[in-house]
Amino acid sequence: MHSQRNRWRRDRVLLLLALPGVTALLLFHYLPLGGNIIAFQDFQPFLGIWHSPYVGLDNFEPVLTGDPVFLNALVNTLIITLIQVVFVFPLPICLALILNATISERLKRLTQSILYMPHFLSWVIVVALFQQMFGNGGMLNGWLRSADLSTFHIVGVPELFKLMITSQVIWKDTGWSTIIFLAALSRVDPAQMEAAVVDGASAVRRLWHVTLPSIRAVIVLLLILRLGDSLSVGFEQIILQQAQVGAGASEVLDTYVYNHGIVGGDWGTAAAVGLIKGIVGVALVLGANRAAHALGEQGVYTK
Amino acid sequence: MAPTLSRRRVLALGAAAGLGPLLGACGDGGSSSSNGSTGPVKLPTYKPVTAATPDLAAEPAGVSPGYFTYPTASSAASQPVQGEAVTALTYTYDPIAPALGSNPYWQNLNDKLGTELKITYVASADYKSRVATTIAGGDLPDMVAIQGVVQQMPAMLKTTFTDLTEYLSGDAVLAYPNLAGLPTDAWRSVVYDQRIWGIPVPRARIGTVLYTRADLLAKAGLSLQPTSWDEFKQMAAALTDERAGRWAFGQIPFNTILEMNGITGNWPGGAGAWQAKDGVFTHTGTTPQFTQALQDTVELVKSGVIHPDQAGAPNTKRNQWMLAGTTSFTIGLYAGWGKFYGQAKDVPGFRLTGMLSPTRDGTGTRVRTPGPTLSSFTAIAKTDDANRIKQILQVLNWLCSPFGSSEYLALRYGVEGQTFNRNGSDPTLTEGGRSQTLLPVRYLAEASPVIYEPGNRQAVQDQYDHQVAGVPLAVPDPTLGLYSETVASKAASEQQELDSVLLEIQLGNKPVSAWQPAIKQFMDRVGNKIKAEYEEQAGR
Repeated sequence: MHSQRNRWRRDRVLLLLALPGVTALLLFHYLPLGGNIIAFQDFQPFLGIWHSPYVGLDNFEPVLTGDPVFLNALVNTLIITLIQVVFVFPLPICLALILNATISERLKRLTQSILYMPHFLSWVIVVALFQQMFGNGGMLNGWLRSADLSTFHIVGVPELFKLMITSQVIWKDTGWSTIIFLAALSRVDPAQMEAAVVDGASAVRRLWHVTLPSIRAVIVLLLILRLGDSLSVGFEQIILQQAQVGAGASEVLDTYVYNHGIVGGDWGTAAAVGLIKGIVGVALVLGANRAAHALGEQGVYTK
Repeated sequence: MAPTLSRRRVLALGAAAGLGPLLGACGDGGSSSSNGSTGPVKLPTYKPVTAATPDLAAEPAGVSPGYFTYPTASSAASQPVQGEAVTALTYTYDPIAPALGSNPYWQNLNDKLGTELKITYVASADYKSRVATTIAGGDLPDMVAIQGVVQQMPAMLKTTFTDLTEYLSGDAVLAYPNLAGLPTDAWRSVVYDQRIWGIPVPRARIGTVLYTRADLLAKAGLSLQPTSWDEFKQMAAALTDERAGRWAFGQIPFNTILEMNGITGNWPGGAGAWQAKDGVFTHTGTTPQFTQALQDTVELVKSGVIHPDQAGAPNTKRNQWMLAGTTSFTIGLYAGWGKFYGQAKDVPGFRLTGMLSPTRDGTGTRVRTPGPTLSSFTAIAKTDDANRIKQILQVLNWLCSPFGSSEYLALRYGVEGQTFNRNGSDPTLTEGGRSQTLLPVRYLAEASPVIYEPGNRQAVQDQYDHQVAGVPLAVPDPTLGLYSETVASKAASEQQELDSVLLEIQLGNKPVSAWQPAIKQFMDRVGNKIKAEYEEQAGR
């Protein structure tokens, strides 16, 4: 008891500093969780949470009965999640390794600045840029047309939609995501590296046996965190482009929630789907963390 | 039917171009009460206010009066309002206006009004979600523009807004003379459960217009009014030159194609989709003509006469295409007509007309979807403070000052010498005035529409001619004044799925045959119930 009090006293400045953050977290992240009760109500905005009638599991019907519109959104979400985890996630690591290998410090700084920039553009701008460049009446096709060449339809082609949004994500955020990996790379022990060189290890060997193991913990940590929100596959980005390709290719869980809840007024079902998405996200984080422990990594947290 | 689709693509098609789907009380296109119980309440007494005699008379019924010049002497039509600031939430179809600090037009308005008007506004496509979230959040401004019919409308109004019946019913409205000048049809649409819930923003009955660059058509030697589907297609092909980056349309003219096939209504959203014969109601989506219209649409899209980036393009962009001559047409509500002249002031020879939908084979009766009687109505957040309510009504009354009054000048043109200059008696907006006056006060309250374009006689005549030709073709909506609870509560979500299939067909992602199962599912889930509800009420 005594030591506990001492610790409080010793850490009081730190605790005070943490207070605003904790308050914000409670207020804006934990308190709104209570709103999930909507998933079990026939919610009407003007009645509010307190007066809307309780309907049990009715709102989960599209999920339980496998409504095709819901399934379409689910399948699209899973495909995009898979693409983003498998193809998008490793890219910043590669890029960070390349940047790290760049000898000229000035060139490295310049490249970094240029690569970071797209991150600060909003999705509206990014989507408009892609549209201007690759749109059917855009720069590329306009030029092809004026040169009497055949045009490429990229925008508005449902089959290419997932490729399109993935390229946008890569263009916008790969540079920015290198920051953490670059920080991790800077902590690779130079002594180890020198020892490897002395032992005659090639560049590939050094990468495989020294560099990557040193940043493995960071990679695993970020991967687990990424899995937690992996089912959020870019609401804003997709809703901006949904009308170009239709819902068949572009509806994901997030847009399903928006289209049925806010647009269609079916708040209950939307909340139910959102809730399930959240639960799956938590399960993924817990599962990945456990897997990390099994592989001898620290993961996000330890018991 | 049912309010749906506030997605960005809402503005995509035809009539949607403004508010069709947002308004979309099932079948009434927002045009009148879908509440069924207008009986006992006494609607506000109609007492027209005019500050000037029109050059073109408001005939036949439903046509707006036309003015060639602005009256020289403008007198005040209202008293300034005293009291604390009034807050409002509304929508816009335009870019954002400069903020109060750098907006002399707005400052002048507050001065003249005598009280501060604080307006928050969002793009119309996002407006419905904004209202829903604002109501859910419980933080309402004094005035809120209400678009369309939302779920459990009567109950929502009762819990959230002030019942204005005692202030406006019958002769009570005469305390606010400009409000008494609003058309009775528009008032009908603000009555729910026999109470009056707001002030309508009235609209000309002409509805949605297929805006036509008459100068471009004339240059191509084309008639301004094709008389059949074949001629329509030929016209579109003649206006398209892909290599030069020119296409006929900036969006799929789906509602025009529906009208060619004898069907009225606004899609997506399906407002006005019900037709009635001998007491039997039919959803036009189930008819062979609708399928034919879908086939025609696919044919038109395949022929390459529509801008390749049309899908999902915002309306502002489509209008730019039309103004720049990239396309020859754009589709939008009639209320936006006047805006184009300001935007096209640098386009040489610019002339805008409206095109009517011909019949498919060139014979028989042409049809037209009537426009909504109102754009939205403005409700007052729940309060018991009678003085405050009266003050807010005074503000709305002031905003409804008629054409020709000095208030109207302040509302539309601002400050002489600063935001507008006189050319003869005609006010002309300056560059700054043009952006400052985009402040959407007119989507809170305004007088009955008139046709007037400063110094542009041809523009007045073109609009008037289109109204005179188009208004008599309008097919009345049989669901006017009928109320379907299913529409208000369940249909939105189903309509949303229907619209999504419609879009896929229009984009060519799904075959036309995908429509049948979609409409069948719609009918099974809600359509047949709506049909029964309408038929029961109509049979009474």
